[in-house]
Amino acid sequence: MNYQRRLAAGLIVSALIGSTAFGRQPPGPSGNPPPQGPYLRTPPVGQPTSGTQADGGVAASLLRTPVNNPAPAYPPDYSPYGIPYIESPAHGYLSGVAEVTTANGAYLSQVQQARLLQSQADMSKLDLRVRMAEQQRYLKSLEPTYEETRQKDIYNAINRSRNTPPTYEIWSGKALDAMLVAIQREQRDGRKGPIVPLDPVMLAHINLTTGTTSAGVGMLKELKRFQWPLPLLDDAFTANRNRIESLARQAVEQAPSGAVDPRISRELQKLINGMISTVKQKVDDYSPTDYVQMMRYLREISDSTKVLQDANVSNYFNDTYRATGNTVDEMIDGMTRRGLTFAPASTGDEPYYTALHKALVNYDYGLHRVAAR
Amino acid sequence: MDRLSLTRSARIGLLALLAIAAFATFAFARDAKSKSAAAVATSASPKGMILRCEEAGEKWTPGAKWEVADDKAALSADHLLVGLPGAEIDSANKAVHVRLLTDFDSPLAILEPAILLHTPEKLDLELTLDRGMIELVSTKKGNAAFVRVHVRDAVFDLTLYTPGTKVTLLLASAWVKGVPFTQKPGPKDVPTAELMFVVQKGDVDVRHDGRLNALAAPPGPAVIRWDNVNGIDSTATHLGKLPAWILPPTDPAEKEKVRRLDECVAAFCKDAADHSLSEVLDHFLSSDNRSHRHFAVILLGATDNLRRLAQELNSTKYPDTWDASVKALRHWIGRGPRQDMVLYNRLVELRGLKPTEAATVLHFLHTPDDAELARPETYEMLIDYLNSRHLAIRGLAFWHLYRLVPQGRSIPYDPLAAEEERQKARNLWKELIPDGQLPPKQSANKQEQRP
Repeated sequence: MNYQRRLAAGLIVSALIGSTAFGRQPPGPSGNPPPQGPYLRTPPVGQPTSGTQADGGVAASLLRTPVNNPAPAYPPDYSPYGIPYIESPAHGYLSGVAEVTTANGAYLSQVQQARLLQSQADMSKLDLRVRMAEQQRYLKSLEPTYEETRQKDIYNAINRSRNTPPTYEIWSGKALDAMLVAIQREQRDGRKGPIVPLDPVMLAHINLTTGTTSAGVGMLKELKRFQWPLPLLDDAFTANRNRIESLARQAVEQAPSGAVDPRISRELQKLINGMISTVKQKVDDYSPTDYVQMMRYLREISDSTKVLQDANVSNYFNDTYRATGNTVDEMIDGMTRRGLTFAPASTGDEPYYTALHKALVNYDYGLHRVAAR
Repeated sequence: MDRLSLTRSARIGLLALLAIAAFATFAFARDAKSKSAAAVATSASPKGMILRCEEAGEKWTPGAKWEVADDKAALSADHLLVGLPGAEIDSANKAVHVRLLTDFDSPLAILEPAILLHTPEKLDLELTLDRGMIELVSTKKGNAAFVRVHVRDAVFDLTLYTPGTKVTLLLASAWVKGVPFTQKPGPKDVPTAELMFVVQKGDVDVRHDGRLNALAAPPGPAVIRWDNVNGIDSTATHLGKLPAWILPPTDPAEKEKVRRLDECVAAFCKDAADHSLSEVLDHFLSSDNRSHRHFAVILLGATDNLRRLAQELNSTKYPDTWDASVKALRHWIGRGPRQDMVLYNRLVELRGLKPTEAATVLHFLHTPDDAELARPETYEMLIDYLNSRHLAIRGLAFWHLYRLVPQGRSIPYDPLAAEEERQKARNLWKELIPDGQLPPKQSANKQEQRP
């Protein structure tokens, strides 16, 4: 069945070849195109007429003498070899069968070639995917890992801190923390820097934290002696102010023993929120500078009341969370042992932070000189 | 008797004639003298390109009137001149040609160019560069041209050696980032002024403070800078080629900007041919064309018309006009020392603002520094001021928020809207930046451009 179909296809292919591929008539001997009309291939000398050229098919060519044979290009009695050429029916049949077989073979060959090309294309596709995967792996290998990024950030922060960082980064404790990390690394490797003395008065204004709470730590020691910004000394705030001061004193008395009455913290928070609301309502009455100053102070107290609820609040009132030491080396050593970092500066303590930052940079510079030797 | 009376009559007549002649001679001489002494330059631009202050004097006079200079008008000394971009002036002896530049939309602290001409003594031209950018071109044949330029209290003597020598002077003056407004300014509380000389063609000597700097067009030592804090550079900066900003634009967006500006200038000159400056500005301010409105607002600031500028701030229906007005005012207070105090006093005395409110307006016309921007309270304050009863305060608070927090640009806040709508928008801002927090960080690739 398959064979028959292929045979039929071969015939169709041959017919198409006959009617289209060679569909243009060659010019005549004079050079002029021959008259238009159905074109039949003129057999060359010595070649029999193909049985496939007539639509009658193989069977018809067997049964009758071809009537549609074109007139030969030579006179009928003319032969270049001297002997007139006569074509027998059997010869035509055999040559037709041969052509069918040839066409079938060519078809099968083309099918195989197409399959070969397809498999080559498939291989190329696969190869492309492999290459793309390799490219992705390569690109990914260039990306830093999370740890590399973290280390790079630390390195950048240290570098920034060493080279005159913005003051707000010093006052927020960020620049000091970066210096702390840098010095701790050197100390871990057993290096010691020069002796850089620290003023105990300065250290008393430096706030430390375990990292669980940072904002408001510095204000804890201010809860005994409030330094309200000038606009908050207005009569409109007197009642709240007095009550806050009274409650804060009670809280500070309770804190060293480790527990502050939650009712005190709650009431403190409520009073502070009340003052914040009042400031917001009267926003037009304050200059932006006054507004920021008031808000900053109130938020610091608010944060401090949150610290009062911390289970380890007592440590902020004894020496545990205090910066101590006569030199930078001693201070850093103490902080390393207790796992402390720098907390933001309280209002008014900024110059002490700036001074400490300079001391840390000097110490770090000395450490590098030691390492370079 | 007759002879006597005749003689007396003749004497009286003669005396009268002499008196008339003397008066006429004096008047003529005075007129001629005033004309010759005052005209120190000539406009080389069509009418409308140069605006002239009618009051003489170096400093801004409140309520001073401005007029449009005619084509080829004689320009007298000591009258402040503001030039539209491309305006041209010739010195009286035709030895120096001045071009007033500036694109009105510069990223630098410069807007309009303004100069004050002086009567030169043994010089070809003497002027005070009040602000902006100008170009000096020598047109003197056979000899060097000498120009004296005053900037603030500094004096620069320029020698332009050959005809065609061209030098650009750029004066940027502003309150730098982080310098707050103070109601009691000290001698150092002044806006920073930076002057730059760029030689485009030929050789130029700049003498200042007893030192001579020899400049030459690129490739060569083409640039030297001066500022009011550090003085003049110790050496000139070498340039291989002229900087891109001084050359005609090649970028399509820049070209479009120049085209819009040219169109504004042409429309302004056309309108100024038949109308007064005030009328032309009114036409431009009520125009549907955004560029025209922007152009007019900058000119209001340039001609010290603070009353009209305040009127625009209070009544405009166009947000872009509001934006341009803020830009003009920020530029205005940065022009020179104590300009911000002038505005402060006017807000208190003429507009009836409380001193705190006026100080708030001035505070917002200055630029906050990084330390302020790193504090959550700054954003809390700006958001709270969105509810201010004063349009100027809430508008300026929004002006800053819009620029500082690009994530909030989609919040439909309008300072001119009704209180309820403003409150809604303010609540959205609060949601974006809760009290005590900093704005959410924005990834670099999501940063939006200013409209």
